[in-house]
Amino acid sequence: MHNYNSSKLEKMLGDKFGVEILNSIGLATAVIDRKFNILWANNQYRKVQEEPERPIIGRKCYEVSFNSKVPCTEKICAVRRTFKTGKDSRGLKILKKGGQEKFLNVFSFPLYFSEGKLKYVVEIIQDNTQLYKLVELSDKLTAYASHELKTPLATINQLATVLRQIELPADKRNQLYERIISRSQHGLRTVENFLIYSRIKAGELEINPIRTNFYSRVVKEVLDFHTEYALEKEVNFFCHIPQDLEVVCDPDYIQVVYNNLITNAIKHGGEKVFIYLGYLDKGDRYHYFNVANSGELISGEDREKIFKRYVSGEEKGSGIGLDVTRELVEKHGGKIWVEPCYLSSDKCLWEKDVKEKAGKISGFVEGNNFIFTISKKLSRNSAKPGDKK
Amino acid sequence: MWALSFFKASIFRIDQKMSVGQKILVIDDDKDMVEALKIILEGESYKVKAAFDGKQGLEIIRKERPDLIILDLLLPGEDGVAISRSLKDSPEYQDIPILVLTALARKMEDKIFPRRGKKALKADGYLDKPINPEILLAKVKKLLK
Repeated sequence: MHNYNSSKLEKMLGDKFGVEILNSIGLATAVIDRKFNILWANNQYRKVQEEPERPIIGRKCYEVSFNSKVPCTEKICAVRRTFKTGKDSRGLKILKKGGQEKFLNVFSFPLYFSEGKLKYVVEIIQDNTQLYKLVELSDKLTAYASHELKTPLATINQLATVLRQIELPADKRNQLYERIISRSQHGLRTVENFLIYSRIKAGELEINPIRTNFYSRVVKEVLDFHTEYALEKEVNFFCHIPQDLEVVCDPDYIQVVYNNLITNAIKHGGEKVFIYLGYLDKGDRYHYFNVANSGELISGEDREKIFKRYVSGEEKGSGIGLDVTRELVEKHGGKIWVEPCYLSSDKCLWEKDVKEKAGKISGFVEGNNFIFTISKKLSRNSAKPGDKK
Repeated sequence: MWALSFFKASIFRIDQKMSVGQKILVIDDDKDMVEALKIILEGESYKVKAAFDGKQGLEIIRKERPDLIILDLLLPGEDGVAISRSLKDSPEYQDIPILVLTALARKMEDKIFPRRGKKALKADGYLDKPINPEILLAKVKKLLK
């Protein structure tokens, strides 16, 4: 590893051993004088400061870090505090360079000479950006989870309060009980998503693929689950998945995939949305499934990023549903994407068909087509992610 | 059992004559919450209309001119704060009392809904979700006096 001006530093420190110690720290390290000039720095220091090209020796540390012409205040500058107190100090530098924020933990140590003078401070920087981002993500996740659960819980509480305090005819009471069950199921589904998400993040999610009658074990159960909600929102389902289709998959997790895609379709498709569930065998290594919905089209830019964490930006949604969906599909050796389509009650024209049949698609409505694949090579009880399209 | 009946009777004893025919518009995007409000209010002979977003709410206000508006703050499209401001700034509708209904009511004293300035909420009362029927009816009654 090449370090800057080691011989000069030796001269300054008058001690080769000291230079060896600084070199062996393995973290971004610099020696700074009382006027905040950088006298010595290693490669990591230059890298962490996002100054790979320009020389930094002899420049002011605040200029290198913050492009500032004035020194930082004592409150934020650990080096300055060390010069003042003669004791080691620590702090946090937040650099905003190249549009990215960097979170750097700074440790500063006084460099005393035999005559007892404090001429220099050693600044050691640890780039903890990743850690801070994870903490930020975790905080965000907690906030989202609370918000997601608060709405159904508040409604359940409200309906239960009404049932307890107001005398109602039997049919009305039953109607409210049904709503309570439906809202609690919604809450449970949200919790399920968060649990899967945490398992994914911990690297603990394992699928259990079994030969499955896809219609009865997955699709029918999902449609039954959504019946109440669909009636309320006047959703029209059209299912064109063969009833005898056999697929090796983890039916419970594929149900989660469908639940998330259908919930997403209802949320974004608005009232009276038209939802089409289909299947295609192209004769290749994959089973192709689609969940298409009418309604506002997802823009090209959003189609690219919709499966990435927390990008939905919706007040209504946690934004993790589609992320979890993507992870589960990938665990099945497949891929998921969205493209525009045209829909009718008995047909869904995929993007390729739309392009081919442009201008000949009367009787169809525009929509978003979420397509996911499951590898045909997925063997029973052996989840092997990575077998991608 | 008699104790429970007495409890209910005491909570919901209200001047029936006063509430008969008075129109209340509920603007909330949560259909279950609207249903709960309707049950509580219709039980006291108020006429309840529902809107699930601000646009629908403003249409009903123009057409039917309700005696009271119960307004949720977090709505799709135009939010409750904007609706409250546009109504209270309008000479035609500023005298219609607005009861704000939100899960954020406890934060009303904080900086989220300033009382002054361009983002100020303009309402005659507010109520925390989930609603206590007794408190709701008492506030409604007071605002409709």
